Amino acid sequence: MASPLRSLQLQPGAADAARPQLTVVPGRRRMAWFAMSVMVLAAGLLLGATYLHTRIAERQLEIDRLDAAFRSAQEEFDVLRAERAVLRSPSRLAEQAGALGMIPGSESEFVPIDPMLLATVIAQTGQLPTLDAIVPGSYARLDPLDQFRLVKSTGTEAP
Amino acid sequence: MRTPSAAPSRLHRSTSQRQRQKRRVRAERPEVRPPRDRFGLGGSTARLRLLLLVLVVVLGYVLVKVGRIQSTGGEYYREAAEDQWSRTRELPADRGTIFDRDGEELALSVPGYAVSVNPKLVTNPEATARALQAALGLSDGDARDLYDELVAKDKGFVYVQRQVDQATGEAIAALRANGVNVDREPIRVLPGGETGRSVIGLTNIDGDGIAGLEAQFDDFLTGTPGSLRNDFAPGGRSVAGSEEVVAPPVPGNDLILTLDRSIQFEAERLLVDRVDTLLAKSGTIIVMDTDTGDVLAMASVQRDDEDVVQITSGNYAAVNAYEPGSVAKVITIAAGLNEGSVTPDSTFVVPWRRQYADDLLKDSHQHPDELMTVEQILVESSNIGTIDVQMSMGEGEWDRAREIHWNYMRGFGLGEKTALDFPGESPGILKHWTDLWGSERVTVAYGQGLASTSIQLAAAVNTIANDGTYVAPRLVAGTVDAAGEVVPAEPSTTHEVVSQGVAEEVQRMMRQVVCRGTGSRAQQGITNFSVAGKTGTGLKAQPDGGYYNEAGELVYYASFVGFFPAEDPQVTVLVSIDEPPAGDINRFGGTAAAPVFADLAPTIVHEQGIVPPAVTDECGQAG
Repeated sequence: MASPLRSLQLQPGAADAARPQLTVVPGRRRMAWFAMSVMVLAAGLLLGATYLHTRIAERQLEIDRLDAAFRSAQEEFDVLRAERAVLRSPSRLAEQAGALGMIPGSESEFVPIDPMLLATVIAQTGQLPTLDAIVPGSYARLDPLDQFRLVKSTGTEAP
Repeated sequence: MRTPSAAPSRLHRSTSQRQRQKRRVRAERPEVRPPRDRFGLGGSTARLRLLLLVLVVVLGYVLVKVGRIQSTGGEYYREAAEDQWSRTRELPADRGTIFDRDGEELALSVPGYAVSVNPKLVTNPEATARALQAALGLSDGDARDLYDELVAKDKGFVYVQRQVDQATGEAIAALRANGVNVDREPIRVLPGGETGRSVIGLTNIDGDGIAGLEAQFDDFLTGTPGSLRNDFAPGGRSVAGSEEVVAPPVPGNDLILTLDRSIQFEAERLLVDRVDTLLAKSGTIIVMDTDTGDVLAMASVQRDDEDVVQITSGNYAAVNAYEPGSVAKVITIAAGLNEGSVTPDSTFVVPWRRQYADDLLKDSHQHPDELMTVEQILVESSNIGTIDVQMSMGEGEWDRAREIHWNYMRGFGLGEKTALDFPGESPGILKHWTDLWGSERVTVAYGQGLASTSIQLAAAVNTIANDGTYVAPRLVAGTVDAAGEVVPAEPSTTHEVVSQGVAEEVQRMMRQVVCRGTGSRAQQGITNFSVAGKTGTGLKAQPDGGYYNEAGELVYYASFVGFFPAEDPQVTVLVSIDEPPAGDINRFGGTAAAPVFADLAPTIVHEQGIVPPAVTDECGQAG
């Protein structure tokens, strides 16, 4: 006995005529991909923005730290130059000299120096360094005003 | 091949039979009721639509509001929110530094702190008061007062101590005690102690200049404060890491003075000694660069109420004016020479006293009528002879002579403030020649009947040292701008008063004053340089208008103005002693003031690097 289903089978010729042309509908999958891409992009942007904000915050913290260190260094510079000014002040020098039993000179005498002797001494010992000869890092050789000017100009260059 | 049967298959048959059987079942259809309008808003569909509309409107409103807050309209809320959790406080700007001519600091600001409390936030008043007492060294009474304030909690801010040094301030800040604030507050210090205090002046506790150059250049020295924002948690504690400098403070500009710290120190030291030794009231010294008018030292000292001679906080050298006495004869003699009415060798018969108007005017000592040259008149400091020189200028017209003389005194800078324009500076007193009456008309020739400050008198005599050209004194050599660049100050203004030839003649005469006249003590101990100068022993007017004090003694004002090297003047120095002892030999300018000049000169020579001239005159001891 033949299967009843077999009776539903269409003859090949008839099937060609009756079967509708079926095509893949790509629209829905494309939308899904599109939505997924947008989501991935959005997530990436969010992650990127978060990373960027984190980096900015890190940089800002670093800037704040450097700024605080700079201010602290400037304060220390002011304290040190005040101490130096006290140490170099005539009143302290006179006090210290008096404590050592020294008294102000009552006479001053000018001694003529042979120019040849002077030239020889300079040639043998070298002259005191001039400002032009001073390389960065050897600011201790500058006088107090020039040191101060250097630090002050650095302050105006800070962000 | 089998063809499909036209009869329905068994499957089809059975299906259609079941369908037919189902159709046969009869059931009562539920009654479809018409939609009821329970709320008067139509049917459910209509209500849903209405609800949707309301939601859209509400959401739209919310969205618009959020959009506005996020874009343009949110500033108010942001500020309100920030006010709740953040505080902005001022960052004080450093006040500019004051340097001397060699770049040494005379006044500068160092970091310091102000310690304050907010009693309302203090959780343990007793512990807080004890901690602050230990850190700040408060007395028991002050600590008790502080404790009372903390317990009362009726104030939100109380200063505990200001101008606290850096180490102490940082130690207190490290305690992180509730309600204790430690704020930056720069401290103004003078590293040289009292040196130059009269000129530099003072700042108050808030850092504002209130005297001297600190007051005169207050706007220039004062910086622009910045601001710092902190976030605070409930309870008043600051959130770590929330500190943000909103605007950095901009430091003030800096001044470079013409003062030389070493000369200033030595001038003050010698003056204190001299005033102390003479039991005088006060004294001033001016040291001036002859060519430029730069003031190298400007010292003022005074005996205080406890009989201790100290450097003054006020610059008496610019503020107080006295009758200069015989130093003013230099002006009269130079004017006569410049007018051509006299020469150094012109002679006058000079009595020791002469009646003018209601007063009998006298020389300092009795002498017979004497034929004196103009040079002698200056060297021996004859009052009567100087009046004769004054009267000679008008070619017989007395009023004309007085007018000419007055014009010269103005030309030498008397009667008006100097270019220093120092706070409280006195213009002195120089009445117009038409306003002078009686003997005043002639006493001005020898320095009585007018008043001048020390700086005026030094600048006047410096005109002679500078070959006849008046140079306005100046105290500021330059400034340092925000970029650290030095900006030199404008050179002093100048004007010619007498010719170079006349100035050189007067220099020579002043050299004789030191060589063989009243100023000889100014040369003592100076072996390499020739000093020229003029002594002055003025009488000091008393409140009753006379020159006698309550004890019936004359009150003197002794001074000496000189310059060196006499052959090529480079430095002019004025020394004045106020109220030297009346009955003592040291009441005169030549005895009270000139020795200080001699003591100070070596320091000036050393600091200024002045090289002695190759040849000195007959008074010089070395050549």
